[in-house]
Amino acid sequence: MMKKHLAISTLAAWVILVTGFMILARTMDLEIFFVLWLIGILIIVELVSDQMATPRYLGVLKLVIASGVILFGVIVARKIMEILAQ
Amino acid sequence: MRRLSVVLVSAALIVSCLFLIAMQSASPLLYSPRIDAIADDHVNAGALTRVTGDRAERVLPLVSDLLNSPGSLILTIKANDYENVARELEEYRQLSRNLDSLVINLDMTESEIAEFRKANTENLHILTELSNGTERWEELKTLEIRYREGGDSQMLTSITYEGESLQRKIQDLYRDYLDQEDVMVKTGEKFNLDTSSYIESEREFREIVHQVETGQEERVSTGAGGASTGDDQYQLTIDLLDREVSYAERMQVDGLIRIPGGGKPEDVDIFIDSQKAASVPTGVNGSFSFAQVVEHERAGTHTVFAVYSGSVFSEIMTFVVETEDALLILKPPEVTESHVVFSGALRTDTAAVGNAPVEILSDGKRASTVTTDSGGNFRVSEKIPPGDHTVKALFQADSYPLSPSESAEYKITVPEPAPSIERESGFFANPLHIGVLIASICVSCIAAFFYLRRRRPGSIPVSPIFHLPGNGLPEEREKRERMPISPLPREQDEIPGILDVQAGLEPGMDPGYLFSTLRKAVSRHLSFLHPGSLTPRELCSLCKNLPFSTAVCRFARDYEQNVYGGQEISGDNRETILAAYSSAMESLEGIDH
Amino acid sequence: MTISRAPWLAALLILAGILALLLHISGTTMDYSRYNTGWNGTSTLFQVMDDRGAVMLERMDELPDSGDCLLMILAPGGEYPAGEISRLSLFLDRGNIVVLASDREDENSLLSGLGSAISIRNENLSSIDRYVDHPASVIAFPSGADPLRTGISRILLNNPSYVEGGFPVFETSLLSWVDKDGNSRLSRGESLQKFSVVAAERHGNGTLYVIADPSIFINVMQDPGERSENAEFSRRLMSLKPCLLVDQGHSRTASCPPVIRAVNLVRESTGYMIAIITLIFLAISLFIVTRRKDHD
Repeated sequence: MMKKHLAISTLAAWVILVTGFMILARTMDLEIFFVLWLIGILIIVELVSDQMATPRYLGVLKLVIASGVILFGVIVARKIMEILAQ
Repeated sequence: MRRLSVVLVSAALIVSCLFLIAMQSASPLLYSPRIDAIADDHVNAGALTRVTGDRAERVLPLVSDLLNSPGSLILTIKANDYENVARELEEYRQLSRNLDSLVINLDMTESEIAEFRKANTENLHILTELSNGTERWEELKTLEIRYREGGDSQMLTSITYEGESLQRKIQDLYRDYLDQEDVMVKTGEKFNLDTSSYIESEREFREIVHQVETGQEERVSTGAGGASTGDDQYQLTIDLLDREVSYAERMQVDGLIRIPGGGKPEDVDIFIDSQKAASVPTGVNGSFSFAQVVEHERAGTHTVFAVYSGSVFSEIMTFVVETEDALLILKPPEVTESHVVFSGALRTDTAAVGNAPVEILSDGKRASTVTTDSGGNFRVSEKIPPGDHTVKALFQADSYPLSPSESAEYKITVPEPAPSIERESGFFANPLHIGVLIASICVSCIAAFFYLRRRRPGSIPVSPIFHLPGNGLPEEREKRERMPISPLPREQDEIPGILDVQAGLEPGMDPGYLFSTLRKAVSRHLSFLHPGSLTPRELCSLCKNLPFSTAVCRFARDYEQNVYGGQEISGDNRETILAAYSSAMESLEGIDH
Repeated sequence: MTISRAPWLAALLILAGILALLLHISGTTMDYSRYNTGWNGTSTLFQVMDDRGAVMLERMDELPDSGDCLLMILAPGGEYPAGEISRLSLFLDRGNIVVLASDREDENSLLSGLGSAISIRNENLSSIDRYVDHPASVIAFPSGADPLRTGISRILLNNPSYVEGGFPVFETSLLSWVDKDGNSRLSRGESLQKFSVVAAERHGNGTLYVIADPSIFINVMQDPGERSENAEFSRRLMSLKPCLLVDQGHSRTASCPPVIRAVNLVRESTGYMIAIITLIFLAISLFIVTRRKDHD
């Protein structure tokens, strides 16, 4: 199996696992889902990336992660403001 | 063509997914049991917070205890057992406190239980006063015997006066105690509790009052000759301007002291309810006057007398403080954004009630307490949660000779903070919010930037090449010139066998570095934009059908065999790799030039 | 190897999707529905009833002539025609038990038709004795000497009405009141008193029980959590007589969307079931075979 396929399967499994637990907890929260997905993809990209070669899809994934980090910043800002508003 | 359609379909799917998610971004919580916890016919008990402990099981025994406590307390007071009185009073106080907190916790501030609690608080106050009063009464009895034996008629008069005022006080307390009966007994009967002890306590109380009354009668008849004055030479008289006063009126005592020999008399002490109220100077003719505005005096009968130099007594006078109706006016509340301004005034028919606490109730719950100014006006701005509320103001008149008063009720609607643009603009109008947002975005952007720029330790930086083959950047050229292209120096033999990429050996000796350089050179030659993405095998296949393909592929094969072989690279192998590298570079150079 | 795996994976995902879809459409969120496995359904209760071999009745003229049955009428939704009421009255007279669980005053016409003195008062009953932090959650305690109350220390109600008349079997505590102004609090003019929520009445040889809150039978209330004896209460109720009948003609427990009706039809006949499963598998294998041909 190619590294790419392994990575995408792992990510899919992780996301399905997170969804499953959310269903079990009877609570669906996009924010939590997003953060868990970001952590998952971050770890998978770290494990997959190679010292010598950076395939193109990894480059794209890193861009996706970077934009995810910025979105995460926005979520954190929102949470802080929610706390401040109380 | 097929690939294009797949890409288009995937793109459409991704965009629609992102769109669906973006639609929910305002409220990311898609579902939680709390969201659908309430249906028409029932609520989802599983999603709500459980209440622990049996709440009613605490109320009824408490009410029962509070009904029984006065009975035993009055009996103890009657038995003059003051040690136990103090203990029982403390227990009674504790029980009352429990009821107070229970009434608030159970949100019953307007219920029958709340009325019971009010009556009970009143009872606690009455019994505390009764305990103090009777204790003093017993002291007076002891003192009376001592002074009678010593023949101290002045002190006996003083005691008679104090006894008189104590008697009135205890009579008042008894009257107040009877006032509570209705609520106390009714509540008890409603909860099927035994109220006989409470009714019995009233009889005991009546007996205490009777004992005090007969005791005082005896004292007056046998004592210092009623309410006359002391020495014959001294004559102290007082008179009250008004026997009936109410809130904010002046209670004025005028008097005259005549002393033998004429001279200017010293100050005269005025006692109200046996408590020294003031020392007033006398005029040359011996007249004096004392006035006090009625504010916190309890409604009922009060006694007043004057004493000159501790031995000359005036006769005892009484005045009545009457309860007056208080009028609490609440103006229509002004609802602003999330705040509601309450203003109004508290007054009696004739005067304003200043420095008095006024409670603002929203749906029966205390929202705020405000104190009136000297003119009786109040104004307070209070944060009230969005929704419809019924508000009113309440004056409890706890320590005033005034009747409690409630204002008219108003129905107000506090608007929900609109989630529209107004709210957003209001949200962003707050500099703190903007600051937090900007700071957070900046930090995350920096984090994202460093994530993208980060290099793993030991990896060789790769950068896409954006120029045409042969027109390499000057620095690239320099670098290339410094690179070992032709056969490597012989010192290579002295290099240890183990190749440690992390240790940063001389770049020329490192197969990884050689591969990276070759890859870059080939990419530049072929204008391939992502040299970093190529593995050795991909590099080989990229050069397919090109003149230098054989050399590059040989290098790739040797490189793979040695580097990925999982074993240490021997000197011979290293030489093979270097040779392959050199020939590949040479053939590349040959084409470039 | 990798090529042949992909369609399998896809088929698996599609199957999971179909399963999820089936689960989705075979459920409902309708209040009191026996097909609703959510908190406001009665699936748990009906599972227990099924285990006890309960007979579901569509019409009152299906009532048996014997005298050892208990008929449950849970959360009725419609009107009862006079014919059915007299049929029910006859059923009671023979020594059977009828349990009517309703919080609507509409059922008072049924009760008066049966000649009962019990009436349901649909008011906003609240109590200090509650199990969750909501005024609709009221605890009721046993009262009187009815066999139904033995061994049960309390039942939990959910937005109950109360009953007047009959012998009280379960009552709220004294610290209960009717929240007339709907402010969820005890206010002036709302007096504290006990309210009867389950009442019994002799009717000929039989007994009529009126429960002023059908919500005690919904899933979340039947959950045997701490201090909840509602499940025990319904078990006691069912074991009062050897034969258990459940009204499905008027009860809201029978309500379901049309999709479920179809699904039930399928579920009830094994033949349909097998046919559908075979069809699904055929479709999947066909799909895979055509995909492989494409590749070759």
